[in-house]
Amino acid sequence: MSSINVMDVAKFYGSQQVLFDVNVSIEHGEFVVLVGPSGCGKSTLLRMIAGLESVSGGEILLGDELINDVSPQKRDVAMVFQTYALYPHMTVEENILFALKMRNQSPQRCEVALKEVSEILGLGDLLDRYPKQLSGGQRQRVAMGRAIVRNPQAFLFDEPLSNLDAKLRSHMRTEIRGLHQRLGTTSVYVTHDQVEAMTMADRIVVMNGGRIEQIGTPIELYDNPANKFVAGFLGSPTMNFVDGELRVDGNDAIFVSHQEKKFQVGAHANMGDLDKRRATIGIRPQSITLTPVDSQDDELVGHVRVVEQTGSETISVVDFLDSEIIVQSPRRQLLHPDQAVRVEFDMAAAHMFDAQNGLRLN
Amino acid sequence: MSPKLKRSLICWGLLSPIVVVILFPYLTMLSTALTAKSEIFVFEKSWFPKVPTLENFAMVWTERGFGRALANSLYISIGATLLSVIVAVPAAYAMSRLHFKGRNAYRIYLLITQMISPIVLIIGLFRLFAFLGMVNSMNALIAAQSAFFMAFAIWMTASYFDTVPKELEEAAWLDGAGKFTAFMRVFLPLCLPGIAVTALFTFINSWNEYALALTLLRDNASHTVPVAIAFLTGTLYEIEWNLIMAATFMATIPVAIIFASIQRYLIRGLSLGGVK
Repeated sequence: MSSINVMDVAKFYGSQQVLFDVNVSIEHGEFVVLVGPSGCGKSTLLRMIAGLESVSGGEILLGDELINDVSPQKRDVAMVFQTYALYPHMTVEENILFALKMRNQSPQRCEVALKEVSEILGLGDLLDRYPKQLSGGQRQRVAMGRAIVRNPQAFLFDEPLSNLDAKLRSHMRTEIRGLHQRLGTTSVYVTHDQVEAMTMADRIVVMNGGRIEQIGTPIELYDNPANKFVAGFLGSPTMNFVDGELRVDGNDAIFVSHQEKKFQVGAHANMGDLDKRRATIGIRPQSITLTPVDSQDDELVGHVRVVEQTGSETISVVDFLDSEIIVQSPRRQLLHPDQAVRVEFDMAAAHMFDAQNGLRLN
Repeated sequence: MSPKLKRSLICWGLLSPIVVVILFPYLTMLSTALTAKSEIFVFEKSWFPKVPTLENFAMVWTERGFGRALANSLYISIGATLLSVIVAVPAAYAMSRLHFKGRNAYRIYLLITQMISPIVLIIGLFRLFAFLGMVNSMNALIAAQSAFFMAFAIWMTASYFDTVPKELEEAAWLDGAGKFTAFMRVFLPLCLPGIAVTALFTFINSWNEYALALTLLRDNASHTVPVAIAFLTGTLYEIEWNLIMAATFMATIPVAIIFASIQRYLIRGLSLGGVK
C-alpha cells in the first residue's frame, strides 16, 4: 500500500475546465471519501488517479512515483466500479483470477489467493457461477474480490453501493469498512451520499464545482464546516438556513432575521468588523426544540406542517420565518399538522456564514 | 376461451395473409422444382406434381454446372464476409471507442458511401480491374464486394460495440491487461453476437449480389449463383422454369444453413439494445 498525493491537479475537456487546482494528500492506509453533488468532479479525480483520464495539469504521485503518464495497467491500483464491471463471459472464479493471470502468476499462487479471497468475502459457493446468476450484493462482493485478490497499492471505489437497495447498502458499508480495517490498504472512495461519507471515512474531501471545499475528519466537517456549502451538504436531515443581518454592539452580538426576529449570538473577538454584515445562520435540525403553545402572540411561534415519526424520533417540518424549518427531536413528540409551536434555536450550536461568499464567520 | 388464447388467435388471423404472401412463392418454387418438365407446360395446371421428381436438381447440377456456381458463390461470399469483418472490427472499434481528429467526418464519409448506388460505379470498377488485369478473378470480386459492404459492416458493428459498457475494458486495463489483451480477452468475446449478425448480413448481401459479379466475372466457369440462375432464363428459346426453380431452391440452402447455425446469436444481437 502506498500514499497518494494529488498536487495542483487540473482537468480540461476541450476548453472546459472541470477540476481547478485540486490538492489532496492521502496517507498510506487511510480511507478517504470524495463527496459532492453530481458533476462536481469527484469521479473525474478518481479516474485520473486510476489512469483512465489524462491529467491536464499538476501531478499525481503514488508513493514516491509520479504516475501522470503511467498507463492504468502499470499503476497497481484496483478499482471497484459503480456498475461492478464484472466480465459477463467469465465465471466468478475467472473474474477474480483475471488480474493474477494477467500478471502471469503461478497456478498455485492463484489457488491460494482464490481461497483466501473467497473466504474473506464468503464467495465459496459462487465460484462457478456467471455474473448474471448473482444478486446485486453478490456481484458487489465479487467486484471487491477482484480488487483485493492482487493486493494492490490502493483501492479506488467509484460509487460502489449506489445500485443496491437501502438495507444492502448499509450492510455493504459495514463490510467495506471492516475489510479496510482488516487489510489496511489505502482507499479512495467516491460517493454522492453524505451518509456513506460520514460513516466510512477517515477523512472526507468535500468537492463542489471542480474545487475542494474542505478536507477533514467527518466530525471536524460536521462540527466546523468551512462554508455554507459544506454545512448544507453534510448531516441528515440537512441544516436549516435563515438569512438576516448581524448587529454587534461591544461584546453583544445579535442576529436579526429579515422578519426582524432577534437571536442572541455567542460573541467572540473580532466581532466588531461584523456589524451590519449580511449573514446566514445555519442550525442543524437536532439543535432546535419545539414546544406546543396556545398563544399566537409569541414572537417565536411557528406552525407544524408535516410530522414524520420514525418510532424512535420525530422529524417535523415547521413554517417559521417565511421558510421551512426541519426539526429532528430524539424522542417521540406528539405534534399534529397546523399546531402552533414555539421554535427555539440552540444558538450555541449555530453556525454563521457570510451571506455573500458563504464563508464561516464564527 | 382465455383472453390470452383469444389474443393469440386474433394475432394469427391478422398475420396469416402475410404468412401466405411470404410462403406462397417459396412453395411454388419447391413444387415447380419437383415437377418434371413435361408436366409444367400443360393446359390443366395442378399445384402439386403428380410424380415428384429430383431429375431437375440432377440436371441443373450436372448439365448446367450449377455445382460449380455454388462453389464459386461460397468462395466469394465467405471471402467477402471474412475480409469485411476483419477490416470492420478494428474500424468499428476506432469509431466506437477512440477519440481522434476527423472522427465525425469519418462517420459521415462512411454513411455517404452508402448513398451511391453500386451500379453507378460499375463501369469505373470494371475499367480499374481491367487495368489491373483482374477481370475474371474471383478475388477481385471479393475485394470489390467487401469495399461495398464494408461501410455497412462498420456501422453495424460499431453500433453494437457502443452497447458494450466501457467500464469492462477499463476494469481489464486496471487488472493489468494491455489494450490489445483487453480487446481480445474481454471486449471481443462480448461482441461476438454483433459480429455474427454483421457477418450474416454481409454474407447474404454478397450471396445475392448480381451486378458486380456479372460485370467482373466474364467467364462461364466463374459465374456465381445469381448470375448462373439468370443465365438459365436467357440462353435458351424456352424458359425452363423447372430448372430455374431447382437452382433457386438450391441457392437458398447455404443461406438457410448459415442462418440456422448463428440464429442464437442473431436473436441475442438484435434484441440486445432492448434488453439492456
